[in-house]
Amino acid sequence: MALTRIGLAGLAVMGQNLALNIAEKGFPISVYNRTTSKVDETVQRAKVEGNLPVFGFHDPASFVSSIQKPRVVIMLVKAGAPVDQTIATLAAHLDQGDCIVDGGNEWYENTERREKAMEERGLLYLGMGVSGGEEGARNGPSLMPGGSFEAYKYIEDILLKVAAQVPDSGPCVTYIGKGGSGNFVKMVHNGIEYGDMQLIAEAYDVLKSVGKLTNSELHQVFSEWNKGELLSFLIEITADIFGIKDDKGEGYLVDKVLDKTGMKGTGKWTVQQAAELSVAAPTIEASLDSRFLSGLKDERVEASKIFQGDYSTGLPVDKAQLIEDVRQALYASKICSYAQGMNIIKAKSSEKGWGLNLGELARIWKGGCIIRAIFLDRIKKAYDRNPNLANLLVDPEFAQEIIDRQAAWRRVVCLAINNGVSTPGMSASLAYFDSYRRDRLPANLVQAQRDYFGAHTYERVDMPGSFHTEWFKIARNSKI
Amino acid sequence: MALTRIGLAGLAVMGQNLALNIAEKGFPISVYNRTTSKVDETVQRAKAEGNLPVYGFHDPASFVKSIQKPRVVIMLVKAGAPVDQTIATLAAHLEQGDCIIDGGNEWYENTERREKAMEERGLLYLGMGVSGGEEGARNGPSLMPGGSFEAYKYVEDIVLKVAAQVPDSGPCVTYIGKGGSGNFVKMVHNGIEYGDMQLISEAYDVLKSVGKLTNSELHQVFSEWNKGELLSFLIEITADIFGIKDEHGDGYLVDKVLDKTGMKGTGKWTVQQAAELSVAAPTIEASLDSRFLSGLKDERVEASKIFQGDYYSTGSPVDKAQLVEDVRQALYASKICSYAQGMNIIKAKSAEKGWGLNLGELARIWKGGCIIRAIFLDRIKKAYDRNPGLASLLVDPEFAQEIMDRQAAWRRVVCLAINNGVSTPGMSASLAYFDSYRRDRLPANLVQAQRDYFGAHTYERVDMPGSFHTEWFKIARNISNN
Repeated sequence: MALTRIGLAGLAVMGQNLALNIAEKGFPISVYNRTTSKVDETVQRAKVEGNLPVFGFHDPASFVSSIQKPRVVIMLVKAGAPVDQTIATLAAHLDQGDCIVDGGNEWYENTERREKAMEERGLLYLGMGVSGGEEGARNGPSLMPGGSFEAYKYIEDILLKVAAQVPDSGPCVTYIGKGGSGNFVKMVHNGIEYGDMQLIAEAYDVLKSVGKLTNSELHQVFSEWNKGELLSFLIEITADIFGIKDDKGEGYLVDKVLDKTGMKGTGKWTVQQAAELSVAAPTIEASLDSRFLSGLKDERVEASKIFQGDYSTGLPVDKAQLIEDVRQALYASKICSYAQGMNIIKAKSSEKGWGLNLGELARIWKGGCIIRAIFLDRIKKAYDRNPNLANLLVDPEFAQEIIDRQAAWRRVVCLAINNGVSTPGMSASLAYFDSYRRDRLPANLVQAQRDYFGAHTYERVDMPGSFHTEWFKIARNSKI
Repeated sequence: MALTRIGLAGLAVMGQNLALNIAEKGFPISVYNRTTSKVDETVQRAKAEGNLPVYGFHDPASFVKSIQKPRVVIMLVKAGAPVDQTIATLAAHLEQGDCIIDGGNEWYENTERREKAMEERGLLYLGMGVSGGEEGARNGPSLMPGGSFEAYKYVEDIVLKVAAQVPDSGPCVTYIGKGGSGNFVKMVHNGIEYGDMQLISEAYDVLKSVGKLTNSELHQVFSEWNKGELLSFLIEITADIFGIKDEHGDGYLVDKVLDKTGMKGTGKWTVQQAAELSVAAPTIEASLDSRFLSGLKDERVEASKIFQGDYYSTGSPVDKAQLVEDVRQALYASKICSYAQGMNIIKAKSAEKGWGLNLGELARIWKGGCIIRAIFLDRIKKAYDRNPGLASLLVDPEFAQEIMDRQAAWRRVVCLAINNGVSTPGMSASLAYFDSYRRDRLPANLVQAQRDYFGAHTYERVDMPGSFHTEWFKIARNISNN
């Protein structure tokens, strides 16, 4: 048997789909899983889906031996300890110069630890974010490889074919940078996705709870929105969701879905890293908190009995105006969310010396992944105009878009507030904009307080230096 | 020379002040610092402040030997590596059964690691949060010791005297619980403090930017607020701040202070732990983010040139008296949300670690000595006394009623701020938190449907048990093809 071009270990849905994608693009692939039935299942799928060149192995030794040198093995196993176990299994059979690629949602420091450990054994290592879910893995994901550049070159030709292809933009893959940068960027991408989903949920909530739109009308609205500046995978699937009836009873399926969300760990990590890096990311925080609060379903039901009553204003709502306002509020909030995500990446890139290209990141997210959207093209253009852009909000085109939409944004958030509808993502985004654009914030009082009780000192607006005032003594004296 | 009752190592301001406090309460104390001039300085201060029984030592060996057994040494050094270094220095001279107490703002897991390491050497260890700043340390802080209960008993009589004393409530100290619980509780307390300060600054911002109150009027307003439900140290000092003129020039000093805040690490840790524990803490997050954004002064000045213009102001006249009252109510309601979040973080960690923390008792010991001391804390204690298993402060019957009574004002204030382009991240996050928590139906059904659509993450149904997956894509394509 001729040697295969690459190997893949870990054959849950994502692993299977990625393996079939790689094979379909013309690269013979070896596959392995600790549970052997998964191997057989994958080989069978390959046969059915076009006699794709997928070769199954039940033991790690023959699996590794089947791959041409320098060997590259992609792992798609659960993050954490399972990755370490799989590495140990594979490394026992790999040779100097071979490479392991971790395709899971791994914590970036684990990747850096592993890259270092592998280097000591003469092996190369990449942490590669894979975005797009099971459908993306099968037909073209967005890929974010970081770590050994040499290892990246081994598989660049494969990745360029396997990644999602966007006309005028190219394959949705690029070498991200050193160390755990690929995983870090994937993590923040997921955090941005949390924000997008929360903002869309709030748009739905306002339209449904305040505007009283039916699911049929919502289907229409989101379908329409998907033809304009909000054109994106998430808006598309949202329109689809509102069009689907319940196969187990009357009415629409979306109304039967329990309002309780699950989550992976990447949203949490993003929020924690924003705090670590001193980057404000209130929209992403609001989306994570909303998932936490949704998880308290039983508590919320009890609380709703205590806080019952009609919170609505009872005022008539102009539906068409509301729809347009919500669309604008959603778009403006989205700009803030991406500004925050990009700033997290920029801060970490700076701290680690990764030298990441933010415009390129926006480009590779345009296809394959969950957040693919026409919006990303405009982000790329913003960073092309100014690679050192301090914040997307001050890109001249985005700034103008925010100015054009802020009146609608303010109307929507206030309408929600006055009707007791929570819009944590939209209101956090608006507060973020209103804090960022003000040259004077009330932090002077906070710093005065800190100097009062802890002698933390303060700076002055009118002269350089660090100052401390005995506020307590002066205040006591003036009271006599 | 007779042996002293206790020792203290680390003589920056906090260390010096705490040492003098302990001595003043009648407990002879030995003090040590690596930089010997600090030792002499402390001894000199003790002499000047009342010939207090403070004994200085320039080397660790004689310092440790001077303390009666079982010896207890409090460390007040910078968190992290300096603590480990100080422990190594002291442990070389301590004996079985002796105890070390870390009084810094330490990360709780470091305390647990150290407690375990000390245990292996036959030593006891406590991580003790100390709140109240330099003034609190000198005159009576709030103390949060956690770790070895045996070690706590060694110093209980001292800390009961040294802690702030609140009439009808007692000394502001209690044994918190095992492991790093003392440090964890202190950390969250600091996070709550961040929230309090942010909310107060937003009240100021609305009153100044929208209501156009002068500093003299603000001084009056906060002084008045300090006589009611908002009575607290932070409101008191805020009133003071607005009354102070600038000695370097015309006008009030507060207007000359640069709007850029510094911070320690505890606010960050609190936000990170909330995320780790899956506890929503948007008010505390907003306060941390506000500090980050304040730190971007240069960027903000540039941004303000791009987004200039007075198109934010509604121009409508504002009823000052009504606004002052509305802001007071909004501040109080937001504060309830902030404390609900802080208590929930502590509750979640207590459950995870099996610490069995008493939340009402925590509120009690924060009533004096610390920065967040407030009459409000008495009402929190009563809430947990009524129901120790309270899911959230929001659903305590009295707090629930207070929120209901104030929500109209709260909504008016947040909307007024929005329509005038004034950011109130803490107040709006608190309101959104309340409005999310009190609703039995949230739009998370859509989020979960989306997750099932693109990742087969499954969903639950409102009408039947079980876990479900739907082939949304296939069904949608079939529908649109018909």
